[in-house]
Amino acid sequence: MNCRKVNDLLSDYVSECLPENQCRLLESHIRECGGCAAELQALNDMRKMLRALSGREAPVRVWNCIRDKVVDSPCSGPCWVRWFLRPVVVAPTIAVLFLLTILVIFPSVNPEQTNTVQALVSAPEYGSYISAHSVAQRQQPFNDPDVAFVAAELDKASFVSADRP
Amino acid sequence: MSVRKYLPGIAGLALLPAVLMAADPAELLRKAEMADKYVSYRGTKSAIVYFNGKMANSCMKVVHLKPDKTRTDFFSPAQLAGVILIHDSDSTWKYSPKKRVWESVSSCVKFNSDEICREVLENFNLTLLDSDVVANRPAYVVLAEPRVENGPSRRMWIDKEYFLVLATEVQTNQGSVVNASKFVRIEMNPPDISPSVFQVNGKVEKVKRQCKRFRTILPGYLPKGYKFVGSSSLVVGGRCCAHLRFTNGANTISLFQREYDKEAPMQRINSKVTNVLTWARGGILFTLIGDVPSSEMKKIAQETR
Repeated sequence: MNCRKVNDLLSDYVSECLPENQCRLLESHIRECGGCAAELQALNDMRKMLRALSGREAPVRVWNCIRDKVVDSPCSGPCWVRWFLRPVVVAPTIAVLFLLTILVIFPSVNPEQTNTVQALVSAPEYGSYISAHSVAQRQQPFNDPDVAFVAAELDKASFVSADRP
Repeated sequence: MSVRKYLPGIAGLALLPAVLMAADPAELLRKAEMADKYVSYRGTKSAIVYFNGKMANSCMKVVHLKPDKTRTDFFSPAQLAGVILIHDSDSTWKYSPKKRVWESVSSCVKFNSDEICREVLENFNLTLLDSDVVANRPAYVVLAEPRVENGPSRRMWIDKEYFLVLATEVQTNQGSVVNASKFVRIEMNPPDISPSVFQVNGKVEKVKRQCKRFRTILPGYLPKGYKFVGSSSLVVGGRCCAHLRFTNGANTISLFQREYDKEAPMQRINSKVTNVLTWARGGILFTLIGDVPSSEMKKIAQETR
């Protein structure tokens, strides 16, 4: 443990808030380091001096007043602004706005090409159409019937449709 | 003595028409269309399909018994592993391993092969490119380039002995492959193909076949080279549906129509392999499927009223 670290922990040590293992490390450093030992001595002296001062108990209503100020005080600006600034609200809002911006800037789906059509033609119906089309396609020269079948079956398998309205 | 001297020449002259005929791409195409009727075969075929932005590979075993029985067992891709397709004369059956059931694949009126060949010759420039070897068999390579549009070009590898199509390839005009297939291994006229492999054994899904007629609408516009070739009906989810077909000889456009009680604007279905538009107008739901540019699809849709 070095002097800087000891300095950071001295206050906790004096208040007896330091874990035991850190206490041991800190004490072994202080045994060898005059500067830190002096610092500890000064801190202990100040603590003793403060304890020697006569204290005055705060009236109970002071705490009530403080509590009222913290908890029940009216908003000092529009409350909804503060509500919107909460991280729980801000993070999803930013994410949604970002996605909307992306969709507006890069409209990947042409309105004419949307899959809302899947509400018109269900997957089984489309499957029947593409099969019938492939049967017609396979009858022609320069078309391998098996290629037409494979293409149709892959297309059917990949077609995900919403149920009919 | 003098006859023997000229014999090779006479024989050569006699064979010349056959050689010239065989080398004519149109004649090769016609023979290829009929080849299945005259040869049985068993082989392994690989196919690639441009799907969802990448190439999907498929491997299958094909057994054909002349004149019209074919069985295809699919091993890959994963979505098709275990699927069996049996084509027997006019009916086609598909076995789904997930459902463990055979279902009839919607069939349609058979295209007339002579008419289709005529359409191909009208709409495509055929060129005999070269000779090649596919699955250890010598083959002619025929190229079909579209006359009227910047559509895909097609190649076909035709067996020199039996005129069976051994490989196919469809390329865009930029040269990228849309789909391709080829026999990796093939055995011609094996003596041990049993007709029993073409039987549909097991649970069969019953499909309602009868349906009431309704008025269908022909489009007022078709892309150049395409013609109406026929219509048929199919039952989809208990509803009767009409299937109108248009072809340029090598590519099909399908227009499906069924009754629908609402109106809906033209919209595109997210197909991974082809162009599909659907819309509802005048009490009919239309679905248009075809490998033609989107602009042409829209024109057809707009002129179907």
